Amino acid sequence: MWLRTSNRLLKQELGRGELQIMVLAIALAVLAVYSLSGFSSRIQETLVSRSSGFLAADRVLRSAHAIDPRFYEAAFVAAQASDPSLRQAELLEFQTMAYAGEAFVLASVKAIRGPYPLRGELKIADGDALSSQQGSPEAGTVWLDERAMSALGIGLGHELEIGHSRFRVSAEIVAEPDASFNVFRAGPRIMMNRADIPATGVVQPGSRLTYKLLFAAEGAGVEELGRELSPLLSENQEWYGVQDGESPLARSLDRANKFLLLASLLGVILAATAIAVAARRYTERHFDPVAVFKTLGMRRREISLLYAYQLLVITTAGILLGLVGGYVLQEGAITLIGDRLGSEVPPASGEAAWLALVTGAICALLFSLTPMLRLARISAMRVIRRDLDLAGQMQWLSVLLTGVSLFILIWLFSQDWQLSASLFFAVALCGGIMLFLSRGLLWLARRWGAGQGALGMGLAGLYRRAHSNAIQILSFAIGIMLLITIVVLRHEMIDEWQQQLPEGTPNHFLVNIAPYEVPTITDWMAERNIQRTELFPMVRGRLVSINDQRMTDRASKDETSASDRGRDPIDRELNLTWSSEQPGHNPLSQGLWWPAGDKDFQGVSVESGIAQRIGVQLGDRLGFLIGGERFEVPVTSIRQVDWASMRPNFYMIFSPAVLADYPASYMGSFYLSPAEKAYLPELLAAYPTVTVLEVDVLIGQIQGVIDQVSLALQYIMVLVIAAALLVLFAQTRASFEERRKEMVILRTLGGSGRFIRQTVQLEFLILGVLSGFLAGAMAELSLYLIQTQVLDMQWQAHPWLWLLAALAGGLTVGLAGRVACRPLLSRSALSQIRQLEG
Amino acid sequence: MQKEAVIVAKNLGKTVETGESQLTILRGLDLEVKSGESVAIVGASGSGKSTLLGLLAGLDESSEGKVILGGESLTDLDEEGRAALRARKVGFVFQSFLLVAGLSALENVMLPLELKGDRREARLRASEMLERVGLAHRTQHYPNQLSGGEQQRVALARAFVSSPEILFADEPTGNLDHANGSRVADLLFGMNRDAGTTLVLVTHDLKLAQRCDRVLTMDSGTLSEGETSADPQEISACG
Repeated sequence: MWLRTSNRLLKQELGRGELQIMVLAIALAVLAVYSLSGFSSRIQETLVSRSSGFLAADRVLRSAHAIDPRFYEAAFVAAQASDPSLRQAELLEFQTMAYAGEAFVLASVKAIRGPYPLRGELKIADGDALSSQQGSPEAGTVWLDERAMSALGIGLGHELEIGHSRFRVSAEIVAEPDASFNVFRAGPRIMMNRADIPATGVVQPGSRLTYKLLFAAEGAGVEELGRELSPLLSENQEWYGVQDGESPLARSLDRANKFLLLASLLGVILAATAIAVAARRYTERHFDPVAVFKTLGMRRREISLLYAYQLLVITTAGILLGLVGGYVLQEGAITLIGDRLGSEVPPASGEAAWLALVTGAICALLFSLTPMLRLARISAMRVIRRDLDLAGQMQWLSVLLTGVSLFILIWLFSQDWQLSASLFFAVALCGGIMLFLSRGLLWLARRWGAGQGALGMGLAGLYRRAHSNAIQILSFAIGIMLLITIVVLRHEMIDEWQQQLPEGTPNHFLVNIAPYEVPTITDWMAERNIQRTELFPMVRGRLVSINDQRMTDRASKDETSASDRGRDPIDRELNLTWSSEQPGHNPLSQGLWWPAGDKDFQGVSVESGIAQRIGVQLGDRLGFLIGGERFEVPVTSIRQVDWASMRPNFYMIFSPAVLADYPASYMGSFYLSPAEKAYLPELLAAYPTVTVLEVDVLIGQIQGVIDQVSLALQYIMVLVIAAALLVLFAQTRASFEERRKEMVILRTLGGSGRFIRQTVQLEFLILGVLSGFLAGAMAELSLYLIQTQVLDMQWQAHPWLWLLAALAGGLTVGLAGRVACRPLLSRSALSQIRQLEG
Repeated sequence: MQKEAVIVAKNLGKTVETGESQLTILRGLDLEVKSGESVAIVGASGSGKSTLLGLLAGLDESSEGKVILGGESLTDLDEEGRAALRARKVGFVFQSFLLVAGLSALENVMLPLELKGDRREARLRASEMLERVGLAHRTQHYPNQLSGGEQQRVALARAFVSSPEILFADEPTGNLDHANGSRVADLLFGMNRDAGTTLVLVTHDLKLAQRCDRVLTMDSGTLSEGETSADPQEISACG
């Protein structure tokens, strides 16, 4: 019985276009989730895979000692069985002297076994031909970068010696994917075949070596391997990927990830809001039929089944529609920006589709459960007493269910209890405050607007339905707030990234400048209008003690885990400098800079990261060893250093009195535009002992990644805006329905179109302004929380936000109201009344 | 032969909470309606007529006293039980028609039969019933495509299609113009007479009320027999 009636009702409702809103709301949720999470995960995968080029792998197992194959082979074979694309390469890195005739250089050697690099591109030039290489030089041959060649004064086909072996130079290294971020640490590069190592005899007990196993896979092989290996790692082994660590790239990726996650989450909340709005409206329209069914003797169970079935059909239709739409949107977007991403985007994953499906089902079922339950409880007496409804009843259940559903959704997305809980409580708190405030604002507006014509009528209308209007303001405000939050966040994130590496960021380093060359080099640059940083003196020295405690025992673990990732180990030589002025880009976090003019002041300023790592505080006495001479100096300040700034940065800056008498060479960085690149040979010819490190390629790569992440954020923002607008529209329609009856009465009583339009528009305008104002306030709060707690960014107040939000709210909601009320004014009052009755 | 009572109300009372105070709508009300009898309940607005109708039909629960409908005590039934009883024995006509907007005229009329379980003959009998009320040509129309008079005729067809023992009518002509109101009233009484249904009619319209066997007046929650301006001739004309 119920099935038949349900089908009949469905058919008719679909025909009349009433159910479409509900179907669209569910489709919207699914579409938002599918396209957002699908797109973001695909973009992210692409970015990570591209950025993995900086590691030459997806993941690296690094060790200070030879890695016993037995340690990882079983896990590797098992992981490869489930993901055949899993592959590996092996690197041994160390520094050693290379000789060519009279010339010698301390080179950074990379001995390769297997298809290195697994990610990114290794470009070598073999004579005239430039080729992309995957593998190692042939046994007995080596590849050199330009620095090594010029330091040794040799070229292709020449020979050099490493340890006991002689090698022929067979190619020049043009681009190395995993070149060190720390340009000061990297010596000239030599690549050789791993099989040649034993014969050289350079690897001795006690040699300082880094063993690396590189892994990459297209499927989940690397993650699986990681799960197996991670628990087995010893103290001097580390398992890491491009997203770990402190490189500027890792930070950008990490933030982008969090942002994408957040945006998807907010998208889900938006969609859930749309469904809740639509379900409520749908239910309220069915109060009368349910009362009639009950009067005619239909049982509660049958009524529940009838609507449950409808819900099932609607949900299925919505989910299918959403999946198709989401797929089309995703593919469209990928097609549009795929070229700009510059590498192959993986195909749409089933996971995102599942997530979207589950989200759609949860949204549809949980958010419409309470309204449906309310339906089944409608009193049959409503057939006689038409004003009976259930406002106020089951509110606690509604709140509880909404809360539970929201939490499940958030958790489903983030898979992170802590994030879910904090976001959930933030949303709940915002909701509570907004509900309270919106009622207060309505009351104030009513008092203020009494007796002011159409405005007064509009305000009276608003206040009369204070409860439902407060809820409407809440859902409008949630839409506007999420929108603002995403827009501002995206803008400020991209801004901050661009500030990190602004136009004109130094892209060349000059090292090894003799003191007497400093004035002529600065003049040379000034003549050519080249922007440069200050030239810093540099003295090599070693930190040997902290407050008389020797460093040797405490450093070994730090050293292995931090080497080659922008942090120097601390029991080896450091680049020390002195300066009377505080470097502008190094803000002090503790202590004071030495007084200007005090030429005898003794002190050192320590970079905050290393201070934390080795446990140094203000006032500690650090012992240094420079060329056999030992001295102690107190820590007088702690500095923050942005290692991504591409300026000369130092762990230790001394007061001039401490270091000025030691022999130093100078260093600095400068910016050359591509057109100015031609100055380089001139510079090198004029100052043959000076070394130039070109990092423009590296900066280009980082900027490329940042551009792509920005692009991804932009797309996601567009999707969120679309979702928010749809929510606003659904909400406007729903709230307009509530007003329709009154409008019809006004119309029937002879209210002019202009009067009715004004009343409706003013009501919506006021709703919009109030919502926008609240949204602005709440967006400010959430921006503060997100920026300081989640994204680790600087927060600043946005006073204009409140005004803009109120304005935008008034405009959009007002406009939507105008559109919604148009059909009302174009039809006769009689047909309107009929429709109300029917 | 003495006809048996199909509706019995004993000491019926209804009180509702209005904020802090209690409002008594009905108090100590006794009523007996015999099988096949037609009873009109008249009274001013707010006198409690509709509340009484709701209680007699089992749409609402009384605060005190009991109602026996078709031999079953409503007080002993839960909502489900009352729904089942309504499906078996009761038909309704309302002032605001209350057709299900999403169902066609025919489907609206089929509804009570389907709820009763008479699925096979539902379509045929509903069509006959619509023909009876003069709407054979409007069976596939939806409520909003019908005039008020037509909607109420569909409601009449829906009320009688399941051959209920008892019919409750709440201001059946209240929303209709004179011509449509008369036509609906004629149909109502005609069909009622043909089916031998017990009719309880709540109305403001004294003329309509006088077409019933008995007229009861509701005043401040109590019921009294008769109605001052009753005209014996008109009452005798009642079906």
